[in-house]
Amino acid sequence: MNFKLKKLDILIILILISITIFSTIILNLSNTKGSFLTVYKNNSIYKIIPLNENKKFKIDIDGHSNEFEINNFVVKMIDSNCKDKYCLDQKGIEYFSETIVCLPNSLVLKISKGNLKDNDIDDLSE
Amino acid sequence: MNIKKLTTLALLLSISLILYRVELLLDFSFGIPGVKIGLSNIITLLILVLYGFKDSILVLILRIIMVSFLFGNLFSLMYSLSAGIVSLTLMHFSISLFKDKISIIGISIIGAYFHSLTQIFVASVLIDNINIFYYLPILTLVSLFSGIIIGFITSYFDIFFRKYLIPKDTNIH
Repeated sequence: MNFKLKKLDILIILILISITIFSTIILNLSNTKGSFLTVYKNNSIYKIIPLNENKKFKIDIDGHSNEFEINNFVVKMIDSNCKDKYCLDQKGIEYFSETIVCLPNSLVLKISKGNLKDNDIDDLSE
Repeated sequence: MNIKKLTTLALLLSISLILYRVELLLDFSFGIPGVKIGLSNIITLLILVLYGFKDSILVLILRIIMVSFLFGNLFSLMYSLSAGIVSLTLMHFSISLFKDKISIIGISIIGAYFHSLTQIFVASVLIDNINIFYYLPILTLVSLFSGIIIGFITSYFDIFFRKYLIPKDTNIH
């Protein structure tokens, strides 16, 4: 074994590049705007919020506090008391099934579509 | 295990702990959550190509347990342990399967890719949310680059170790 790249290495690199390209294309094709925000806390639905009004929400359970805002159908986490603050770095979400995850506080924000009733059934059967 | 090998492995273990700390300080994540170069994998990969699977998994498990006690928590222990063991096992199998057809760089890319794949999988099971797979494209690209960097550094150390630190009569692969 030495520095030189061998055929198999180049094959592996090409495979990974094509996986990146194809998965990006597939994920982008399925992008549609959502109409609701579903908030999951501890793996169960905590709240379903319509996206059509601009508002700030604060969720405070068991000392885990998160604050997010809805602005022009885009949801963004604006404050959290978790340790790593990764959720604050995540981009705003607006498309169907996009998520913001706050792992330490086990909070998931997910965009869903359809009317409220359909949405309830969908999420419960998941 | 003779004393020289034991000392070398212990030294490499402590180096991998230092590399982990250095990576925490430097922060290569470029603003994307969960992105890392994985500097301590240099040591895991180096021990795998120099001494083989048994010693590398020993050092890997020790390193992950120590790192979790020092800098992490029980959650990070689960993530790192599962991803580390899966990627190391696959790297080992790709060495024994492809032998001379693959270089350290290719092995390192395989390891990096399956490391992030396992972490995504574990995360999707733990938080019960399949949409975490949206990270897959970016993590594939990141693991490609970090795999190349780690593989390059490791092949340099591999040559250095074989030349100066390990006597010819030692049983290495």
